Amino acid sequence: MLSTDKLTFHITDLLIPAVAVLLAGVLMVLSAVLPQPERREAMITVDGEVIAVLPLETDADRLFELSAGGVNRVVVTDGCVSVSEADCATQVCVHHRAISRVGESIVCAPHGLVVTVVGGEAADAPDLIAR
Amino acid sequence: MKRLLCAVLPLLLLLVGCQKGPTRYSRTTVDTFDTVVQLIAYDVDEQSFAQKADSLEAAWQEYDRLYDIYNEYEGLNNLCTVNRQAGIAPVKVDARILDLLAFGKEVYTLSGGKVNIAAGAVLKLWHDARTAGLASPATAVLPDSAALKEAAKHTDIEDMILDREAGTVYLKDAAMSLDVGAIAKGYATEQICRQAETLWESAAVSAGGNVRTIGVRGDGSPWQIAVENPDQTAEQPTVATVQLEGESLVTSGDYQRYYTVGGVPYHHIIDPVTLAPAAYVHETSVLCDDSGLADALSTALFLMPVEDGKKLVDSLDGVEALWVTMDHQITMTDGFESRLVGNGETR
Amino acid sequence: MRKMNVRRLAMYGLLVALAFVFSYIEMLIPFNIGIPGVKLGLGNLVVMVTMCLLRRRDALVVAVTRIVLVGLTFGSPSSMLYALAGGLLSFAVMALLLPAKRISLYGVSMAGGLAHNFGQLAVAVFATQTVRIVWYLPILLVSGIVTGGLIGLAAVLIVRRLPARVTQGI
Repeated sequence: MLSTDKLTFHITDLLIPAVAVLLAGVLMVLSAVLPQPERREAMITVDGEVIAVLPLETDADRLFELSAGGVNRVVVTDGCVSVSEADCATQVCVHHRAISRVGESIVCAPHGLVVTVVGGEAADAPDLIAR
Repeated sequence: MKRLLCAVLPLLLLLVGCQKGPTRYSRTTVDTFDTVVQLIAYDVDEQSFAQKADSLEAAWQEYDRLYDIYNEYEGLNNLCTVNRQAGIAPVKVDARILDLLAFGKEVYTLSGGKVNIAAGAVLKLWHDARTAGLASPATAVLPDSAALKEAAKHTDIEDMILDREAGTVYLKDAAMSLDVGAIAKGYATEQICRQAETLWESAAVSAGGNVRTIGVRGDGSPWQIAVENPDQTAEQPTVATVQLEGESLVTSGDYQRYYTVGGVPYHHIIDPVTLAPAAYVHETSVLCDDSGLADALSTALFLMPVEDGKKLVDSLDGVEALWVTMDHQITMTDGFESRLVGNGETR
Repeated sequence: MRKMNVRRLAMYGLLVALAFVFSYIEMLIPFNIGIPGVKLGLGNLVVMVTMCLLRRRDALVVAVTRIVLVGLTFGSPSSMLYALAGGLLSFAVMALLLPAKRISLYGVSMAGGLAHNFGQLAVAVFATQTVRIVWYLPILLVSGIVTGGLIGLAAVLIVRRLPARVTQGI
C-alpha cells in the first residue's frame, strides 16, 4: 500500500467527487418529486418526557394516569386531538379546542402535561397564539 | 509542496469562519403554578439557548412565588402573606411586589376603577365557587349574592398602603385581600423580557398566552402572532394574525377559565359593578409595547362596552385593540387593522 | 482464543489516543454549518493512515473505539449515533476503495469524507422525519471534497515520512 502510485494525485481521483455530485443530484431530485405522507402525530409529554405519541389518522381514546397523581383523558377523532376529561382544578385543558395543525398544543399546567401536534410540514402557522 | 501548503492553510481558516446564521430554538415549560411558558429565540447553538432559557425560567418561578396569592413559601413574604396580615400589620416585601402594586394603583385610575387589584374579597368567592363547581359539576352553584355584596364593601384600593421607604405593604381593612390576576402575568413578563433583551436580539415569549416579542425573527421578518378564536368549537383556531416587532399582544376571554351552573357558563373576569362575570364581549386583545399595560388594558376593555373601550384606547398613545363581540363579530381599531398580516404596511 | 499480538495492541492504544486527541482539537475549532457532526475529519486521517500501515480491520477497531470514547466523554447518545453512522459508512467506503489501482489516497480520503457526511445526513433525515434536510447536500459536498482533499494531503505527507520499522512485527 505504500507504493508511490498511492501517494500522488491522479485524474481518476476526480471520479469520487463526480460520483458524489451525481448521487446528491439524484437524491435532491427525488426528495422534491416524491410525495410525502401526511403523518401528523399528537406527542404527549409530562414534565418534558414523552409518554405517548398518537398518530392523528387513527382514532384513539387514552386515559393517562400520571405517576405524580392526576388523570388526563386524550381523545383523537377525525384527525384532531383534544383532552376530554381531567381531574385538574381549572379544567383549562378540557375547555381547549381540539387541535390538528402542526405546532398547536394543549397544556394541562397543574399536571405538567402537554399535547403537541408534530410531524409533517408546518405551513404558514403563526409563531405564537395570544389567548 | 511547501508553497502548496502555504496556499492551502489560509483557506482552511476561511472555512473556520464559515458559520451559518443564528438558529431558531424553542422550548415549552410547564410548572405547577399554572404557568405555561413558550419561548422562541434565535441563538448560536443549543447550549447557549438552553442556558439563557434556564435563567429566564428561574426568573419566572421567582415572580410566580412573589405574586402567588394562594400559597406561601418558606422564608419569603409574598402576596399571600400580605393578604394573611390584612388588618394586622404591614408586611416587608421584595421591591418587585411594591412595583407591581404601584402599577396596580395606576391601572385602577387608568381603567376608571374597573381593574381593581384590591377586589380579592369578591374574586375569591367566585374562585371558590368555580373550583368547587369544576370538581363536582353536579353540585355547582353561584356564590351567595349577599356574601358578594358584603365582600364588595371591602375592596377599596385606598386601603392598600404602600410604604416605599420602609419597603412594606399594609392592608388596612382586615376583610380585604389583593388579587393581581389581571396584571401579574403581563407585568412579570415585561420585567423578565426587559432582561431577555440583553440576551437575545430575536425572541418571542408566550407566558400563559401573554405574548411579548423582542425584535423581529432571525430573517428580519416580523413575528406572526395570532389571536385565539373565543369560539372553541369553530373550525378556525384564530380570528386574526398580526405582525409584531418587539411589542406585546395580550388577550382576555371567557373561554378558558369557567364553570357551568345549570348549563350556563360563568367565567373568571368579574365586573365590579354587577359582581358577576362581565358579558360585554367574548374576547378582547390589546397590542402595545408594554406587556403589563397590555394585560391590564385587555382586562379593562373586557369589563366595559366596546364603545367605551374604543374611547379609552383612543385616549392612549401606542395602544391598539381588537374585540370579539357576544355575537362573534370582530371589531378593531384602525391601528390594529393596519398590523394584520397581509395588510402590506408593517408599522 | 487467538493470541493477540502485543505490538498490535500497543499500536491500537497509540492510534486511538491520537484519534481521540484529534477529535478534541476538532471540537475547539468552531465549524458550524447546521448539521450535527459535519467537521474537518481529522479522525479520518488516523483511520486512513492505519489502513495504509496495518490491515483494514485494524482501522475499523481504531475508528469504532475512538467514536465510542469520544461519545462517552464529550457527547450524548444522539451524537454517538450520528458519529457511528458517519464513521462506519466512511470506513466501509475507504476500505473498498483503498486497493483500487487508479485511486490515490486523495481520492480515498475524499470518498471517506463524503461518505461520512452522507451518513450523518441519512441519520438526520430519519431522526427528524423531514426529507427537507436533503437540501443541505450541496454544502456537504463542498465540505466533504475540500476537507477530504486536505486530509488526503496530510495522509500522504505522513505516510511518506514514516519509517518502515513503525509497523514491524505487528
